Amino acid sequence: MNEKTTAHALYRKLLTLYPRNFKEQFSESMEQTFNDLYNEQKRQADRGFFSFMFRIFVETALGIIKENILLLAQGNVMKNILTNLRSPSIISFILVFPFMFLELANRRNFHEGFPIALFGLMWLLPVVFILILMPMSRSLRTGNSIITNPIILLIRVVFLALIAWMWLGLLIDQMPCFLGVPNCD
Amino acid sequence: MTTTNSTPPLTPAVFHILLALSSGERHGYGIMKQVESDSQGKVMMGPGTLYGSLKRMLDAGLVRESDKRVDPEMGDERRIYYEITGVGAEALAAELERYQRIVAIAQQRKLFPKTFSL
Repeated sequence: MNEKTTAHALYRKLLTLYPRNFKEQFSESMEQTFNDLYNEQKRQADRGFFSFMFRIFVETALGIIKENILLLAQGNVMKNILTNLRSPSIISFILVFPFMFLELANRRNFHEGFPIALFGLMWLLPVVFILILMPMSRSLRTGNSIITNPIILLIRVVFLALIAWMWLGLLIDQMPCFLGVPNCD
Repeated sequence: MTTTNSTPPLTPAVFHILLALSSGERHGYGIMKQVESDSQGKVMMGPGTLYGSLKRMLDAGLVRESDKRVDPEMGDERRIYYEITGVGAEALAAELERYQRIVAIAQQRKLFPKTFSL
């Protein structure tokens, strides 16, 4: 691989760090401009070539940092997170709602406060469960293997099992209360 | 700092790009070379600054992309050209007026060294 090819390959790699939209819009033009600057520098003299390369790479890296910060500041990342959270939240609520209904219906005469913390936890556990499961199901849907990194897969499976065990344990423990058994804890 | 003018002050990069495009449409490298020439080599814009500024200028409607075409002097690659819009020309004119007012104040206060006096 010659010097020009290496420089271009490195610059192309650097450009992949730009936010996706920016990359789609400008990476081709930026590569062309880099190519033009490279050729100009080579035509002028080899002297100062490395300082020129260093300057271009540092300047582009600063541009990458700036664009990523601007993207964060615009709230696009936050919006994505919130969009990703919406479905798990709804699914989890649907799962917990029947038990909330049972609690309200069967314990209305006991003059006890509504156990917000219990239902909060019962709602939160499935949300986390779905959030852990989502990247795996996305990989399967797109036809990618989920065992490209076995250690991460193992950690995910352990967490999923732990969450499922906690949720079912909580449900079994609290079922008498949901069914209206007096003096349940 | 606030301004009473409806057009907000431009960043130095945006100002130089608009100035470069005021004499005709150019591709990225062409803009860089024109900026360098307009500033007598004092402003050397890198690709990160240029394309970051162009993105915001496109979003603000100060410039627009024209069709991709080959620059006969630069080889056979098809390039995107950028041209100044009406809004961009207005923003540039407003910025130049601001500069003119500042220069007038500087002259009034005799702030220019003798060698630079206008």
